[in-house]
Amino acid sequence: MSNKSDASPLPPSFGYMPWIIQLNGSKKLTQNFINPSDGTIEERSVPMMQQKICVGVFGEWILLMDPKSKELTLFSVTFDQKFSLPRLLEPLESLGGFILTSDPTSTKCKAFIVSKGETFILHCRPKDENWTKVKVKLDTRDNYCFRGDISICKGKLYALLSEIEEIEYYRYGRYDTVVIDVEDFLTGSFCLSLSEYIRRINFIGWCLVDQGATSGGFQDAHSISSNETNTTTTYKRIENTSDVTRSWTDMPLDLVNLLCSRLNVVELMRLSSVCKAWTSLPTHSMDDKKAWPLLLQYSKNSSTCRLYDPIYGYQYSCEIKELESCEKIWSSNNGWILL
Amino acid sequence: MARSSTENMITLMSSDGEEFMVTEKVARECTTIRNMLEDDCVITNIPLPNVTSDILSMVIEYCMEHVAAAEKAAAETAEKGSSSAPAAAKANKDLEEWDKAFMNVDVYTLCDLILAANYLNVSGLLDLTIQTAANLIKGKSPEQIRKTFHIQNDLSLEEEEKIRSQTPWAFEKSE
Repeated sequence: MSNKSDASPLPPSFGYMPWIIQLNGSKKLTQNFINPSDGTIEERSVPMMQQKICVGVFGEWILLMDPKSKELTLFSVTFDQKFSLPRLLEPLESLGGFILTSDPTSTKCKAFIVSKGETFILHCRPKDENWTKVKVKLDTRDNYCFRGDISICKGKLYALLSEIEEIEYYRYGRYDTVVIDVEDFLTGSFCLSLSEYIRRINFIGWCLVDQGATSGGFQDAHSISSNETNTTTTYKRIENTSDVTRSWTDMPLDLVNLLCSRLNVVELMRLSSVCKAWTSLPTHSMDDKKAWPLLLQYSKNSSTCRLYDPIYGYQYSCEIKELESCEKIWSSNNGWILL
Repeated sequence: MARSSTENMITLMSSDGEEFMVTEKVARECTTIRNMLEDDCVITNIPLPNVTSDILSMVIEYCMEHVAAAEKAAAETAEKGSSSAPAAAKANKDLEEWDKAFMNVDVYTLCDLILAANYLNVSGLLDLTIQTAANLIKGKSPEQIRKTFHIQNDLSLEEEEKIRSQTPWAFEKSE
């Protein structure tokens, strides 16, 4: 039966591990909180989420829409904070991904929405009256449209494009200027072609796993985390011929962590196997790591998937046995994927 | 613009006792020194026991270049009323080129520069040196990273195997 204890409206471990929240729209006034680690379902009532549809999730923030009034609200369950966004008047048949450029409390925050099958992007600030619609010129490819996935990293927006059989990884202008000039917004565009890579493989699906500026990393996603590396850090000084005792392994941890923040997940894992002093790095720095997006490409009924780093063009293949029985990746957030 | 001859000079003393005379403006690029000057405005001699003379001279060189670039940009703005975008872009590019050339150092010097930039709190230099180090790591295997940074592998075979076995795909040679 429903548990409506007002003292703790949320499950006790909320905020410490991933939860799947099922909104029940107009059918029910309560929401189901599904604990993915043991499959238990807790029924709770969060008034903000009643009668709402979830449009998207970005980090802590859930974008909720009232299906009748089309009013949009950004809501954080963890912080119990909300921000109103302009109504979504555009009749969007299939809403795709949404992202925020920063925490909505910041005045610089912008929200972006892409829709499946369209070639425009909607953007606004939390206090705007309306969404601004920007038609994106997709290079010379007239027959391309957004697939609905969008991610943000280091001041660039990334969105997957698709044709019937091809997908292009695409990026365009910077968002981080205070006032975005629409012309600048568009002329800054350029395509990073993945088509050749795609043609060589029998692709079934894509998802963006590492969402750039959000916390967590791919390590967490499949419990392949190296959390058990113990945290005692022993410094080993290497003997070098020069007279001063300077060594990279002696570098204070806060500086090494600063260095790690410039690396992606894979480089970080490699760095952690360089020497003893650095074996505990990932657990120190994963939380505030600003990695860039990684694309996860998977095939039906196969546990092998490929990770692609679109910025440096490296690719990795990895085994995730959970993927074997998986038909589709439903969504990804903070390095977690929902199968 | 004639430089005012009354500009305060500060003496910075390295760990090995060498003295460097710099203008107060250059010294203020180091937040650590700026804070000292604000606490005690008559101070003119600052010992820096954590920085050797060869590294200190490089930090000063960096600060002087960046102060000069900022002064030049300010002077141009004052002359024309407003800064012209192409000129500013060129100046930025020149400074970036200078930074790039400045970073042509061995990994030991780079390590010392990171420590000095952190100690003296020169944010631009810290950012530059950390990014340079990150670029040296990108795309390399653990063995190549050890070689680049002259790090001895102090992990036992078992320890190394354990780390690798957690995420074997990360250690494949990337295509």
